[in-house]
Amino acid sequence: MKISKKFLYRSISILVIILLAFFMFVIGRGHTIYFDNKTFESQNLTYNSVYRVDLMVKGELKGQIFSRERISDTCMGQSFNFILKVIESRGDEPKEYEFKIRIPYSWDGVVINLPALINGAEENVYMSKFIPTVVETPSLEDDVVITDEFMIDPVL
Amino acid sequence: MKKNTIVSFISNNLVPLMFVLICSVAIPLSGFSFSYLLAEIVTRIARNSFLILSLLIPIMAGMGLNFGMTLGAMAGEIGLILVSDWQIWGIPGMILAMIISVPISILLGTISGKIMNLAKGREMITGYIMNYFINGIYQLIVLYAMGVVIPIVHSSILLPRGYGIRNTVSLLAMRQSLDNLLAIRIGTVKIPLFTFIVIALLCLFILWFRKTKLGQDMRAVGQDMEVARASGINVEKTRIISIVISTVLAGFGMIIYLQNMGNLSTYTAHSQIGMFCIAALLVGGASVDKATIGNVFLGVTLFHILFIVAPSAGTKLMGNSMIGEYFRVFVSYAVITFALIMYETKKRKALREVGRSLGLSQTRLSQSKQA
Repeated sequence: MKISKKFLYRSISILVIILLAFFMFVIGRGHTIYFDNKTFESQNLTYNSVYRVDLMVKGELKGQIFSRERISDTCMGQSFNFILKVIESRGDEPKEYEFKIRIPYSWDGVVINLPALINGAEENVYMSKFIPTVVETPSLEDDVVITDEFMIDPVL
Repeated sequence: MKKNTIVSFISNNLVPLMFVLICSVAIPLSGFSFSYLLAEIVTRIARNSFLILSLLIPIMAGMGLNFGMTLGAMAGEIGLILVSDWQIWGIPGMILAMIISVPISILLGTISGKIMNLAKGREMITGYIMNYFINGIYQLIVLYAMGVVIPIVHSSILLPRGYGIRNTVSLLAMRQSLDNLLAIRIGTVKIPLFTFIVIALLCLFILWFRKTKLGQDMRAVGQDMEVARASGINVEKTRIISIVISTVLAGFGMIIYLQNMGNLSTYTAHSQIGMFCIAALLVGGASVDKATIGNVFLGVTLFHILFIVAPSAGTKLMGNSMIGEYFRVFVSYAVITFALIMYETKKRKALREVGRSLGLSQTRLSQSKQA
């Protein structure tokens, strides 16, 4: 069977587009990461919260997490690099830690317990899937679908 | 001679000149500073130009200001809805949405092209009504199939009943991701450089495309279908290709437009955009059978100046911003009507001239035969 050049070029183009789509699918996956500075118990071990943790991402200070606090950040892709400046107790010198974590693709939100991470706990201990606890109340407004195309949007 | 040139210039550019006149009155009335107006115009040129440029290729193929681009906009929206649900953010999300939109645009463009081939010469009204038909299918898919047949996971975009997409889908994760890439700031004016590069590339593509074999075929079809057919061009196929290119580009344009806005009006965004793009192109001095890249940029600038200044000018003039808004809407639609009437008048005048000259030559021929 003879394959024509046209067919070959078209097949290669489609293949390249599919590969590009797959690549975008992987690198563009967004995650929300929640950093917890809370006392955490796992496998009969207790990881105590620290006084303050400064979160740095790509050289930018994202926030200061005091004991029993949580902040969030976003990341694209499955790899997330960050630096933590940890002050164990008030007046202590900050210790710097650099981490690179892999985030499961299917998780939209990830909770990272900082005390467990700093103390070298296993990945399945310091990292857990974020499950939203707030249930959205359905609003009547959302049930009404507006399909009036004669309306001109002033922000166009 | 000079007077004739001025008169012909005015008659050929009556619509843009009218808009320039209206804007020159409305701008001082609005009280907006030049830098504010410039910043707004730059943003809006970046937001809308790609979409309006997508109309040029069907015009080149003689398919007029048809609403086929709306179908591409729907395809772009479907891509964005899916990407939002899959949580693909930023530029990768935009590229993925564009890839998803391509096969949908090709399918819709082919259907549109085939229907328009059955209604040659009435593409504008055919396209407009066809949009209602395709819009019904779009609503069926988005309102009933998504969440049931097409898996949609996230409750943030799903209607509370468990299927169907909400009226507004947030695109915050990709908001201005293209515009912020290589953006430069001159004073208070933010210039989305990368978006302008993308628009410039499309302009270059259109210029290059005109010179290709397919582009020349489209121009031949646009000038005279029968002559083009006699010279061996597959007129129907060429017209379908032009519509398919337009819908694919419109899908990309809609994604660029919506990433700037940061949210998607699921059920109304596409239908508004078709009317808006055609109006902007006509304001730029285009006609049903002729439109240039210059018309796109002039149109989007003039049309948007009126968008920005009309409410404020209305407030200053009448004490009510809605008066300005009504005026702007009235002017927008009046311009479409006026431009279409002018085109028809010119066409009839040209036909009359041809008839008159033909009659004269026949009279001369019969006189010379008698002599």
